[in-house]
Amino acid sequence: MTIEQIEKFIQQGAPQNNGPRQVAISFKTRHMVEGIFVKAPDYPELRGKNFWRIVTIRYLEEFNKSGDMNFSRIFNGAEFTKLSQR
Amino acid sequence: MISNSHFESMNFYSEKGSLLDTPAMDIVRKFSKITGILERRYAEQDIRASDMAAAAAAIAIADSSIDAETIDQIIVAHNFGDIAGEGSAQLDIVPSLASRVKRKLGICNPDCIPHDLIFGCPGWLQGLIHADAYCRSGMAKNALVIGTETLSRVIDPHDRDSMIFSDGAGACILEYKEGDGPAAGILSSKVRSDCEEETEFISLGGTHHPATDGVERYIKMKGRKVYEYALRHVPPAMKACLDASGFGIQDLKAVFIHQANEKMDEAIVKSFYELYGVMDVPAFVMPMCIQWLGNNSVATIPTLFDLVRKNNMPDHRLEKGDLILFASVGAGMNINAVCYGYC
Repeated sequence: MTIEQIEKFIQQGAPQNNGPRQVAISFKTRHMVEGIFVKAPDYPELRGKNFWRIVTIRYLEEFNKSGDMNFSRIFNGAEFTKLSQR
Repeated sequence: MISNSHFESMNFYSEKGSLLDTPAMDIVRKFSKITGILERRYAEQDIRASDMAAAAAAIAIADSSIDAETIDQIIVAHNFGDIAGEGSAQLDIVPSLASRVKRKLGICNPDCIPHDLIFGCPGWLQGLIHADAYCRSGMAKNALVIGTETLSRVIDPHDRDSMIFSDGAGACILEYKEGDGPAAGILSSKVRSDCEEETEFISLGGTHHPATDGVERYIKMKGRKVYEYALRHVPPAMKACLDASGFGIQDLKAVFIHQANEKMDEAIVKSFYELYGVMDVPAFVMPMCIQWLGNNSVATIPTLFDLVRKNNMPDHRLEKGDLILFASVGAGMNINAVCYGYC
C-alpha cells in the first residue's frame, strides 16, 4: 500500500475506548499482524519512507502501561495489502 | 548436529593460557546469549569440504536446470581447503577445490575453468561479484559459485570462540541474461579491504591450552576487534552499495548478512538503517539461521538464501522483483555487499 492509502486509513478511523483503534494488517507473503499504529518522534521520517511503527497485540498491554516505544516494531507499508479495523 | 551441551564438559583457557574460572556451563550460556547459537552442524569425518561443495553444486545445477557441461566458470570460495578429518589437520588445496568439484560433477568441458577464492567469510559473495564481472566483460555467460568450509577441523577445543564455528556449503548458478525488468540480478556491489593491523583479527594460531605442543594451528579470532571493525565499516559499505543501485531504503525487502554472531549482525543492520534515519530495523527484513547452523564462514549467505528462497523460513518470503542486499565481513579484514533484484 502507498503512504497516502495508509495515512488515510489511520486518519479516518475513530478511536476505540478512548485509545487507538486496533487494526489487522494483511501482508503479501506472510501471516496477518494485529495491533495499533503508534506515533513516535520519528513519525515524519518513517512516514516519508512508508515505514510505520506498530505495537502488536502481544505487547499491547505492556505498551499501554508504560508507553515504551521499544514495544513497537517498524513495518514496511509497501508490504501491506489490506488494513482493516478489528 | 552438535548442540551447546557438547561444550559443557570442556575446559576453556584464555588467550594467555590460564584456565577460565567460570564454569563451562555458564560460559556456554553466555556464549549462546551473545551469538544466538543453540546448535551447529559438523560434517561426518569422511566428508571433506570439496564433497560438500559438489553436493551443494549438484543441487544448484538441478534447481537452475542448466546443462553442467555449459558452465563457464566454477568458483569455489573457502579458507582452509580439504582437511582429512580426525587424525590429520593438514590442509589440502592442490589441486584446487574447484578442480575437484569439476571432477566430482563429471564435467569434461575444457572451457569450464575452475578456480578457488580465498577471501575470508565474504568469499562466496566475492565469488558472486567476480562471476558478475566475468559475465559483464563477456568472458563468461554463466558461473557456478560455491562456498564451502569444514571449520570444525580447525577449531581449538580449549578456545571458547570455537563454539561459533561450523561446517557447511552453499552454491548458486549465476547466469547472464539481457534485461528482465528494472530490478533483476546484480544491481550494484561494494567491496572494502583493510590489511594493516586488521590482518591479525582473524588468523591461524596455537592452542590456548598451555601444556600442549603448539605445532597445530587453529582458527583464532580477536572477537572485540572484529566486532568494532565490523560495526564501524560494514554499515557504510552496505549503504554505498544500496545507494549505487539507485533504490532507497524503503525498497529493500531483505538483508542477507553473513551469519557471524546474532548480536553483531543485529547491531550492523540497525546501524545500517540508522544511516537512513530509521532508528530500528523493520520487521521481517533480517532472516537468521545462525541459531541452528552456526557460523560456517563462506557458506552462511548461500545457505540462508536457499532456506528463504525455498520457503523454509517462516515470515520470510521472496517474490520476483524483490530488492535484497547481501553483506559480509571476515578475515582480511574484508567487507563486501551486493544489491540484488530477485528473479
